[in-house]
Amino acid sequence: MTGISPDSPSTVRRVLQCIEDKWYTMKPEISSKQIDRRTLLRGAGVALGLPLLEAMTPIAKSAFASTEEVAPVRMACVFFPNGAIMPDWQPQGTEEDWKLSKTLAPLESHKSKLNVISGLALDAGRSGRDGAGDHARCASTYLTAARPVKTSSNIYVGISVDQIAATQLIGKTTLPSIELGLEPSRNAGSCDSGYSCAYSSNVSWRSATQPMPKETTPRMAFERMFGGGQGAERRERDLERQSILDVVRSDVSRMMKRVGQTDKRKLDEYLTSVREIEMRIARAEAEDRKAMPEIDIPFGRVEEFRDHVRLMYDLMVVGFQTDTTRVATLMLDNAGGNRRYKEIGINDDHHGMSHHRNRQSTVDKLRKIDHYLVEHFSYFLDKLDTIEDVNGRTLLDQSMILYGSGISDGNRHHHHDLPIVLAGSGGAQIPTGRFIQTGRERPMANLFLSMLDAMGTPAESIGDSSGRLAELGASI
Amino acid sequence: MFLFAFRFLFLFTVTFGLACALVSPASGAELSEAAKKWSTEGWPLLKRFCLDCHNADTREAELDLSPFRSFESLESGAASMQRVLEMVRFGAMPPEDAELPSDKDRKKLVTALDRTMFAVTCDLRPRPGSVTARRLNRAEYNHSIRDLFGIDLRPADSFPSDEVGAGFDNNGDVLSLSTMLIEKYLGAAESVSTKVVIDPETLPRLKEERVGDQLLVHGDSRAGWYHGRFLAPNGFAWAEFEVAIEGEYRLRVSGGTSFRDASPKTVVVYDRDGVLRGKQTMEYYGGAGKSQRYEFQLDLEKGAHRFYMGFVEKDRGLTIGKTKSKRFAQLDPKVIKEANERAKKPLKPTRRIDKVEFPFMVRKFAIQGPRVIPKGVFPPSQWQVARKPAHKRDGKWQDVMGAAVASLQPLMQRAFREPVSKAEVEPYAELVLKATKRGESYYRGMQIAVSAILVSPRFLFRVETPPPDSQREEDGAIRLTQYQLATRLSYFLWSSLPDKSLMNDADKNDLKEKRIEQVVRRMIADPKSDAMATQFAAQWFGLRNLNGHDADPEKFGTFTSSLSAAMLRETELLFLHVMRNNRPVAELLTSDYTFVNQELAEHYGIQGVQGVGFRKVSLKKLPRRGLLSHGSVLTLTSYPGRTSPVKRGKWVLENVLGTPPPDPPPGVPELEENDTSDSNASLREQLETHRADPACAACHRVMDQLGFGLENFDAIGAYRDQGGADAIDSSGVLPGGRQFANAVELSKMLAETEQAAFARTAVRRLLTFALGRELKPADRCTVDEIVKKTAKYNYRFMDLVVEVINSRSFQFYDWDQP
Repeated sequence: MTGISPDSPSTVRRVLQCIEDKWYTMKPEISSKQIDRRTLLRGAGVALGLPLLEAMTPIAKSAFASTEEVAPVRMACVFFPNGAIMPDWQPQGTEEDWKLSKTLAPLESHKSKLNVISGLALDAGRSGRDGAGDHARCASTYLTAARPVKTSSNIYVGISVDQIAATQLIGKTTLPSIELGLEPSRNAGSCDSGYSCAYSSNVSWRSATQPMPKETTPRMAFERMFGGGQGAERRERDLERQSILDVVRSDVSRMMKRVGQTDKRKLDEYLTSVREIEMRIARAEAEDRKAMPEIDIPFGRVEEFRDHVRLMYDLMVVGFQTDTTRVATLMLDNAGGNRRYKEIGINDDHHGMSHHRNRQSTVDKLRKIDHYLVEHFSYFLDKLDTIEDVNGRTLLDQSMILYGSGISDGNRHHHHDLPIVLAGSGGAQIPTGRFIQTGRERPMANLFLSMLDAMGTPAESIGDSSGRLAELGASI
Repeated sequence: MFLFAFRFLFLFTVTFGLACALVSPASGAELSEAAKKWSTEGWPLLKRFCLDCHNADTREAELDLSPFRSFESLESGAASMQRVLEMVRFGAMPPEDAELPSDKDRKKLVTALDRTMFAVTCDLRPRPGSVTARRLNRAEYNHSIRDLFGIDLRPADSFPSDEVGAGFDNNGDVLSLSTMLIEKYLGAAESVSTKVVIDPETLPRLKEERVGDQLLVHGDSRAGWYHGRFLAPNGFAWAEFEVAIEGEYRLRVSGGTSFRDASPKTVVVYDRDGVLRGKQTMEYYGGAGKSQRYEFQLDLEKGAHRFYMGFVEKDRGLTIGKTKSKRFAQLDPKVIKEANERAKKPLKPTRRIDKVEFPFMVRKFAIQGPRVIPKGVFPPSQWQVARKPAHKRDGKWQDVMGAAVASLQPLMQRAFREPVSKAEVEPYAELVLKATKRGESYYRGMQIAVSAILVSPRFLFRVETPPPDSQREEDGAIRLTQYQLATRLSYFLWSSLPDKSLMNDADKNDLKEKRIEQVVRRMIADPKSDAMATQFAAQWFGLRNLNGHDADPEKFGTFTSSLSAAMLRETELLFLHVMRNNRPVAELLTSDYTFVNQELAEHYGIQGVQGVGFRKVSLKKLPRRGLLSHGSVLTLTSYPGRTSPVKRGKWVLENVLGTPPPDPPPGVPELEENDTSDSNASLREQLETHRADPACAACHRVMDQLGFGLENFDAIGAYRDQGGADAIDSSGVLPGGRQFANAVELSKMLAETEQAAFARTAVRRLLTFALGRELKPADRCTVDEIVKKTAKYNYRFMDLVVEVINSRSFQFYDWDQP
């Protein structure tokens, strides 16, 4: 056999055969040999399918019930853009004896479980020397309380409160945090007077320079939380494949009626293979379903705002419930957003109207939007409050849900006396049912520090913080 | 001494002449005549020379020939009789140590067997035979995708290779379909569909602006409120953008002169090549946050763009698109660097700006687009697939079903190669509808529908079933519909689906009689008939074995993969030349021209050919003629380190003369290769000893002699005079005393005296390839008829193709009812 060069196909085959033989006679305990074999196979320039060991490993799921004895505290921060009609937002009365305002009326049933906080300010949102761009600053300061550098490229602001918590919770849950939104981000180019779009599109910042991209498709968010990485893409492909196979299967059945025995055998090969793939898809789907909570999340984009926002709230609820994450943010729109809320009869764009110049008809419309958004927020609190946590309290009790904006008066771009609601007692650490009036110019960042204390993830400072927010009365 | 051995080959000519005389169906009288001849001439010889071993008791090779005394049993035993005929004709039987028939007796026996076989198998009109549903093979899949969408994506290159049956990989009976392959089909379909239809919503759009403090500036400047950037008289500003897709973009400059009473100035915009792209007079910007605006449209190419903005006092003959500024065309990189440095430290806005020092202000430069995505961004197939676009209104896609049906119906008819009713299109269109309901775009939906079309069995399989109202012929055979005929034609000649013209012919019921011949000529003239070379000829001549052939790098350092590819192409080009010019088939053996590129020309010692392209060159001055002197054939019939006269002889017997030698008896060792074996003399000697064994001798004398005729070509087809120390002797003798001195004479002799045998081989191979099934004993009637019909013009190749297509086997089929 001198005539065969060392890399002729038959030589390769023979080498492979040797490797194969060795492999099959090997004792399974020598696990490092697996690497040897793989390396050898690769060395021989042949790609062989290895048993799908990795794929067969069951997807490790976070326990639906936490293993910790104490129920964890959760934090969610919801952002709405363009400020609010403040006279209709702020309640009347004293800390203990107060009434919900017209705009906040939908929260009536949760009044005892939330605090409305007035007087908070985000100084970093003001123009200072930076000139226009209040909307970019509205979002980027909302959870960072830090001044964004005016640029369209080398973005820099500060870490956000949710990410301070999330970073310290890494490893405790499947995801340290989830970032949701209803409008896609634009992370390139400038969106508001020379500010990078990243500033108006993100409230959550992993670090001063790294915004956390938000998920706007409920299904994708769901997959990220429960599907694990590439599963989502596979499932979407499987769904399409299933519908394709349905169509071609009816083609083959029609053909079967006309063909003779030999052809039938050939078409049978086809049909059998199609069935096998369908079964594989079904199996994968069943596996996935086992690993996922019972919640119906549609594939693809969701067009209706109402459905969209509720799905996002649902996802946060189920994320907390399954302890998949303890930290969530949701942007109801990007800063300066111009959604038209047609379903409540408003055909003008939100941002455009927010410069209302006190025209009554425009103010009325804006108030209607404010109210409408609070209604959805109330849906979120409803859900949280109906779910019992491991310690017998409700999820709402175990949470701190911040709801607000980085602008108060949208007409004048004020960044003080912000519209802020904090629902939930953070595991009975924060007395609720109060209208907390902090007076003028209290840094929003102080509230953040207090919230972080309650989360058990304290920080020295954040943004322009000057201390804790004593008025919150958190019992730390 | 070879004279004796070659008496068998001599018989070929005789038998073919005889078969041709008998092509019309045998009548009853002829049958009884044949029966009489068999019992008086055939049977006695068979009994005398064969029955000693092949009788009911001994059953040598498990063959008992005694029942063939009766003429009737020949029909049921046609297959064994055919083999007996081949063995006797070939000379492999009887063996050397048995009683050997004289040449005359052997000729008589062969004639009797041949005549009898014809009589029993062709007694009726030949049956067309049934063809199993054929799955598209890799080449057919690739070509079908290419011709369906006009893009050569070659997705099937990653499919597993196809099974080969009867010498070709388009054989319905062996082409199988596994789950793995279906997955490959799904993957390929998904990948193809995203390349032939592009979802415009996935294309990147540009909407960016640079406000005053983000503009790069040359010269002194000041920052005012509301991002105004005030420029010095000689200063200018610029901005850079990355354009992802070509198209029409809208650009906008906001700014103006710095003070109220200033005379209007002209704002000018230049591109990075220094060409003026826009200009307009601007007046006072208006104070506070106000500004004048200048908007204009530009067609921009994909890539990086830079726009310079400045002001001039007077417009002195500035022409957009013509005026060129040297200053901007050759801007000093230092200026750019400086500006970038300055931009890092934003200027502090001030109200105190000297209006004379800084007479102009730019507030913003914005770009947006493309408004309409130019057609050039899409593949040509976009408009063919999404023929009828659906439109979006209020965020919802309108009339998706209507548009999808209208778009998919013509596509499906081409992909499925037959008319497709609206009802059959609807399930596919619903895939589009479902996708839009899920929030996907219409175009994404079309991609899914295209994927479905490409995994449908109607695309992947060629199934021939009669339409409900079809009539059977007298013998029960069924005529192909026009669409089925068009499909057979196109997969035969193009290995691809029918083009529009063929489908039109089928629509008009035009594919018949004379018209078919015109169609075939048109199809062969079409470059797509290259597939006849790459699919048909390459497999006929076994050229695919070249791929993966290892020549010993020590001995044959010049054998590279590119040389091997050039060898393959040479043979394909000769084949195409003969076919397209309708040359006699024997020209494949005698051509005194060939097709070479530089590498192959150098290999052959031909001067003056340069580059990788192939051209036709004359071989008149070289000892090379035709196929048997092609590097491809000579290499693939060699061992890595030496030639193999045996393999070469076998190749000629199989592919030229159409009489494959029987397998060697079990237990015969392969010729050992050793250091001396590449010497011509010792090789001959070795083979001589080999042939001393009577079990081997009969076959090898024939094969080896043909092979030795090609010994002047080494194991990679280069010409040589010496084999080791000795001069090469490539002379030999063909049966009947036809002597040849070398390969040129051997080829010429084969072409002259074995022309009919070669034509018959060509027809058998063509018919097998065209039908995608193994030939059966009854097919010899069809083959004989075609050979006879084309003899007049020496078996011109296109004539052979036309006659194959006109044959009953091609145009009809036997159908087993479900």
